[in-house]
Amino acid sequence: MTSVREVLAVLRTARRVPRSVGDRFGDGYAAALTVLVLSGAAIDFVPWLLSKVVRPDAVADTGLLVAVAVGIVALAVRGLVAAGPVVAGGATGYWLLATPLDRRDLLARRYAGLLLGAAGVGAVLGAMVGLGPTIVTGAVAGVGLAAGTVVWQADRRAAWIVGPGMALAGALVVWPGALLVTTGLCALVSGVLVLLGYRALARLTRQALDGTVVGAVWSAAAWADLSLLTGVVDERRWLRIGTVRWRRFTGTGVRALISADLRRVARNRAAQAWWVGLAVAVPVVAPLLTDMALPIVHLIAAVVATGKLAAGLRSVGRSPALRFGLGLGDRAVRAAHVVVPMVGAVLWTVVTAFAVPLSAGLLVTPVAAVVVTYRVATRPPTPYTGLLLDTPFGMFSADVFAQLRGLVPLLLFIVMRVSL
Amino acid sequence: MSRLARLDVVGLTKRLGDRVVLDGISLTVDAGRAVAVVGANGAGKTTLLRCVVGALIPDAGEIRLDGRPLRETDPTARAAVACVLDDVDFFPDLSVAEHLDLLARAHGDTEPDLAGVLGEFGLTAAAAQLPVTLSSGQRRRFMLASCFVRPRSVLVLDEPEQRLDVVGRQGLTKRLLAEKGDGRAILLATHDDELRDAVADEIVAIG
Repeated sequence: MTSVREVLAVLRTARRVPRSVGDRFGDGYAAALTVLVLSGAAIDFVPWLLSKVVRPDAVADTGLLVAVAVGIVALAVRGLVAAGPVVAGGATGYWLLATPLDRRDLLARRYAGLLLGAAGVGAVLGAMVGLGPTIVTGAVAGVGLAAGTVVWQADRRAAWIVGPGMALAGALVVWPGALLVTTGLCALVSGVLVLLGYRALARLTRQALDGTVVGAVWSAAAWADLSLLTGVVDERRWLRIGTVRWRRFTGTGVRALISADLRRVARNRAAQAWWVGLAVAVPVVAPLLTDMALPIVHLIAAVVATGKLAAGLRSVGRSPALRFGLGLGDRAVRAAHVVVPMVGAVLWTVVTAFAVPLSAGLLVTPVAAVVVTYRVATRPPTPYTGLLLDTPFGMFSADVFAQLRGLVPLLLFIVMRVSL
Repeated sequence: MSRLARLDVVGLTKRLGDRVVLDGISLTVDAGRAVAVVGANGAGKTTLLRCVVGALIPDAGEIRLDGRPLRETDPTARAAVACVLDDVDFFPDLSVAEHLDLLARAHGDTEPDLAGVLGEFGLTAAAAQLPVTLSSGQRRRFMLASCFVRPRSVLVLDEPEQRLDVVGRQGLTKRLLAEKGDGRAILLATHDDELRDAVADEIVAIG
C-alpha cells in the first residue's frame, strides 16, 4: 500500500512552484524577521502596558497572578478547542482523509507544527515575565497545553480531566517557589500529554478535523473583518440550538421590530453572559487598576457589553435584502434595532457606576457604547474586490484601515472620558 | 391590503465590466398579469430582476412603479414589492414562524395567517426551527412563504421553482394563479416550462 510519506511527496511535487533560492530566502527572512519583531514588541509592550494599567501593589499579589494565569489558560484552551486545534479540512479532508492512509501519519506534521507554534507563543509569554528560565517554562507549558487540547479534540470526555488539569498547571506555573521544580513538573506532564496527543491523532474524526474556524480566523485577519469569524461561530451555536419555542410578537412596524430584538437578546445566553460577566468583572478588577486605566477599561467594557446586544442591528446592517423585505425605511429599521443596545448601555453604565469615580466623564460611557456599537454594526460590507497585499504570511487586504470604522470614535471617546 | 400596481421596465441596460448583460430591456407588468423572463444560464435574468428591485443599479434605463421611479430606499416601494432573489438573508436567532410573523407585522398586519402560510408551504413542522437548520428545499419554501405572508402588490421571483418537489411546484403554480386573480403583478424568471405556460401572460426572452 502507498505510504503517507509517498503521497505527501507527490503532493509537494505537484504544488511546487519553480522559485529561485533568493526568493525563498527572501520569504523566509521576511517571515523570521516579522516573528522576531512582533515577539520583541510584545515582550516590551505588554509589561509596559501592565505597568500603566495595573497598580504596582497588585502585581505582587499571588492571587491575582494565579487568576490571570488560569484566565489565560482557559482562554487558550477554549480558543484551541474551538479551532481544532489539529485541522485538516478542505481539500485534504475531502481527498486524503477519505482514503485508507494512516491518519496518524497524515496528521503528524500538523501536530508537530502546532506544538512548535505553541512552544513559541509560550516562550514569548514567559519572556514577558522575565528574560530567563521562565522562557523555557513558558515553552514547555505551551507544548503541554496544545497537546492536551488535541487529547480533548479526540475525545470530548477527556475535557473533564484535561480542562481543570491545565488550569491547575497554569496556577502552578506562576505560583512563587522553585522555578526549576515547576518547570520539571511541567515538562513531565507535557511529555505525557505530547505522547497521548500523538496517539489521539489516529482517533480524530473528519468532523473533529473540520478547519472552518481556522479558515474563518485567517479570513477575518486578512480582511480585518471579525464578522467572518463571528458568523461561523454564531452559525454553529444556532445549529446546536436548532429549534426554539416561538410565539407571536406584539404591535406592528417599528414596535414589532423592537419586540423581536428583545426576544433575540432573551434567547442569546452567550450575550447575556457577556453583559452580566463584564458588569461583575469590572467592579472586581477596579481596585487593581490605576486611576488612569479604570475609566478606560470601564468604557471599553461598556462598548463590548453593548455590542453583545446588537445582533439584530448587525443583521439588518449587513443585509440590504433584509431591510428591503421589512418594508420600512432604512432609517426606521436601524433606529428600531438601536433601542435595545441603547437601553442595555445605559443600564450597564448605571449598574457599574459605583466602581468608578463619579464625574461628568461617566456620561460619555453609554454614548460611546452606543455610537461605537452602531458604527461597527452598520459597517458597509467588505469590498472583497479590493487590493490584496501578498505577504510571507498570506494575503492581507489593503482596505484593512477602512474597515476599522468603530476604532476612531472609540479613541475619541476615550480621550473625552479621561479628560472630563 | 396593498392597492394594485403596475411595473414598468424602460430601456434597462447593465454592464458587468466590459460585458453588456442587459441591453435596453423594456417590459411592462400590469396588475393581475404575469410576465416570465426566459433565457439560458448567464443570459441576465437574475441581473434584470436584481435591477428591478434596486439590488443592482442599472447603467441606463428606469424602473417605474405606477409611473413613478422605483427607489429601493423608498418605504412605499418596499411595501409594494415582495421578492425572492438569491440575496436572501435571515435573522439567525429567530424561528421560521417568528420571521413570518415579524415580516407581516413590520408591514402593518397585526393578525397574519401564519398557520395558513406555514401549511401551504409545508413548513408547519419546521415552524420552531431556526433558519440555519433548514434544508435547501425548506429554505426555498420559507423564502416563498415570506412573500405571501405580507401585504404586496408586485411579486418579483427569481426561479421560484428551484429545489421544489412536484407537489411544491404544483402548489406554487396554484398560488401564483391566485395572486394574479387578486390583481397582483408578477415578474418571474423561470426555467420551468409548465410553470411558465400555466402562469405567464407574456414571455420575454433575453440573452
